Amino acid sequence: MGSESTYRPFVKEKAEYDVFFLGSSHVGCGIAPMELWEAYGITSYDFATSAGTIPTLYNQLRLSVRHHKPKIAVLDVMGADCDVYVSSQMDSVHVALDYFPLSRQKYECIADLFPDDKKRRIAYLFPFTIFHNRWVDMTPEMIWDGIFNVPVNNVKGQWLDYSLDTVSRPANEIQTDETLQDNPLGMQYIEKFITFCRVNDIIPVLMSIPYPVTSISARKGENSVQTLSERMGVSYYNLQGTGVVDYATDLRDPSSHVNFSGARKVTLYIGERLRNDYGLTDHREEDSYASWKADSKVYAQQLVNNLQGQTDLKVCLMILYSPNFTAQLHLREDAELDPVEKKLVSQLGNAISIEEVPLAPDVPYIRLDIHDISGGTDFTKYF
Amino acid sequence: MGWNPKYALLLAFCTAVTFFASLLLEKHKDKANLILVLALCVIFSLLLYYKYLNFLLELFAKTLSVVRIRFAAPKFDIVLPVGISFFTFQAAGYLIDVWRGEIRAERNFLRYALFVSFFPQLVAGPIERSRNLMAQFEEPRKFDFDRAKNGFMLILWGLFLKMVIADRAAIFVDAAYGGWKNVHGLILILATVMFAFQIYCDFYGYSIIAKGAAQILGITLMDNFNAPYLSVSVQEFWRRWHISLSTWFKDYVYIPLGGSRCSRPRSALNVIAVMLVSGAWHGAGLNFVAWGLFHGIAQVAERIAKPLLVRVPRFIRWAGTAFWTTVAWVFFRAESLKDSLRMLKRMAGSVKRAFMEGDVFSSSQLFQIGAVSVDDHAFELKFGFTAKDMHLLGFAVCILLIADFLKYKGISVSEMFCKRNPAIQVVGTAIAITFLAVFGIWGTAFDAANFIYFQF
Repeated sequence: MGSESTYRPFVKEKAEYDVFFLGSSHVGCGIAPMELWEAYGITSYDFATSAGTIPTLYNQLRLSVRHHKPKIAVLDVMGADCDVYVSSQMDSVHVALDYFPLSRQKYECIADLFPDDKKRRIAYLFPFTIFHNRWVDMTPEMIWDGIFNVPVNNVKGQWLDYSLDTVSRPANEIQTDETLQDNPLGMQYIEKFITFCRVNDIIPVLMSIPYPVTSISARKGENSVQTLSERMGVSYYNLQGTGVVDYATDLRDPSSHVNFSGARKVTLYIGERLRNDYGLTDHREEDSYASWKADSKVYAQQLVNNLQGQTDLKVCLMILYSPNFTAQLHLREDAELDPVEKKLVSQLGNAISIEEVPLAPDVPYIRLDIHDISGGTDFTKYF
Repeated sequence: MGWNPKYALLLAFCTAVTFFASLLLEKHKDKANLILVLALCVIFSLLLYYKYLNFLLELFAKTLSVVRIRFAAPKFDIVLPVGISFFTFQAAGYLIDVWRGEIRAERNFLRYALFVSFFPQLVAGPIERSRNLMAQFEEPRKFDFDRAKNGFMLILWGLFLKMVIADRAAIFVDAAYGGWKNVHGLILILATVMFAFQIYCDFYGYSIIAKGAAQILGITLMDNFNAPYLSVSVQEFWRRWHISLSTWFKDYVYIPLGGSRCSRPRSALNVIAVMLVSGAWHGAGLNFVAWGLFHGIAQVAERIAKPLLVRVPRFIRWAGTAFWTTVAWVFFRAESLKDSLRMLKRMAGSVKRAFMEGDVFSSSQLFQIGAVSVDDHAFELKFGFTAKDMHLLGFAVCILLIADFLKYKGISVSEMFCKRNPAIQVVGTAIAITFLAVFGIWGTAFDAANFIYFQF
């Protein structure tokens, strides 16, 4: 999605946000604001930039607080060891910044990200200079949608996706106690992030969303962040190695982004820590947050619609890891779940019951009866 | 090509030399020839140094190698100051006019300096004559809204030619010519045709922008192009193409050599000589000289065959002129004479094969090279050019040709437009600006300020 699609809902929101989550694609995939709302009544938004560098995220925070100021800003520190201002994925930097209107502060942010490249600054201050040539790629449908049917991210910035990757095997993780020897831009901007938050009465929090760390530099970066957080008195929620996610069931792609079920686990963990550490208020019964209740219903319906369209048992079991559903799994006596499916079933706990059905010609191999608690509907899937 | 401010000293030097030389010419008429020669030697030696030194040394080395003398020509890292060919010729023209007694020497240094360095036409012409331009500086100018509006329209038109046509065509031309050894001959032909429009629109666009900018200031510059691609002979082409340069050569080289007021062979040699020099003016390379020679030969042939040519239908004469000038552009665009000859051979071979193997007049033939058509992603990857770019270019060229046709018939589109209802003018201007903003090749990925003729 483009910049306007991602951040227009953020800007137009009338209620206040409790938390901003800033990070790379790992935050986009791994933090589910609607799950955080449904579990704890905490309002939040994902500022996720593909291959986003910490300087980019820092400046994105500077621009976003002009519209809403959160109580807490949580920065995922992946990229602490990087020494570049911006990612080579220029389109993602455009997504991160373009929607924010031209202002003196935007000029300062762009100048901060491109200290030596005045030409590139123009491209980000005036995106039309880059995108005016897009007419080459446009179709009449795109033009129509662009005017009358602009898609928006209605899940508060999350990159909601129902992929499940059980094929790729994450490489062995690297462990070390060493820290970074130099002070790369990533670390410098984490400090700037903390300082900026404190100056603006925002509580800074650092986090590491779990993924298999195969780079020693990245691991050193996490260690350096630990040291920094202790020195500056900032909470650091390092989920690495905590077992919050299971790489066998909770990844969505070979790049080790967490999937729907993994995101729920990460989000609930972070949400509980934030609630306990900072006493965030549960807004679920407040009238001023009526729009979030409405958005929650839309989100729940999206899950139902997606579940109804799924043909993969594993994906269905993954989506069922949501408080909105209960299910009965009917296995014919010759049917057998593979290890991943068994794990997905076991994490559902009491939300799913399993029944073995005798073998007969008209009995389906696997039948899954699903009850949507929020919508009150029932439907059945066969595999 | 150098935009370094220190080259302003060069401009100042050239201005000073010709200014004082012109005063000396009038004061010491008995030594006028010597003063003129000396002054011209000084300013042309600068042009020779900056533009031709490396080329001349290389040529010298090649000549010696023919007689088996080895000479390693030194290569100097000389940056060509932008506009040097233009302001040198403009100053030289003024000096010669004073020497001929056609104008009086300017006494006001600042006014003369303004003539040499007038910014709209400094870097790429038109090469103005002092009797036209300097005379306008003598009268104070008041701002005139209609004149400024017309000037602004000219600037928009120039930007359309440059940004929509020239820079778009350049994408394909640069890719095709840059990798010509791996490009089919038919594609090279297409690229050459597109280059014909690229260079025309690039240069014409600049000239029109210069004219428009000057017009806003109340100064009228000469027309540098007058629908050259509608010419029915190469001679006519040169009366319509880069008019300021061709008239400069006519007045200061061709006529002094005798022009056409001498024997036919001598007159033919004069034409060839002028075209050779014109070619060399355009670039320090044998391919540019060859380009000039190509045009010179055509002009001489037309003179000889004039009695026959007048009986040929106009359309055939136009087609022949278009063909000849387009082929000549291969020499202009190629990196070297050798490359241009090899490219022509490749193109000729592909045409011959197309005739022998298929229907060469099928419009799809030009775009079907093996399995690759202009709609293919592979074509886009190879040439950076999409089907939509091609369509837009075709549309824009049609607009250009219509405008040129109207100009050929003596109709000024900008004047017609400026007489329309103000609301129509406002809407039309807004549409033009929007069209340029969306369809122009500009932005941080391109440097639209670079015009081809800046390098001369």
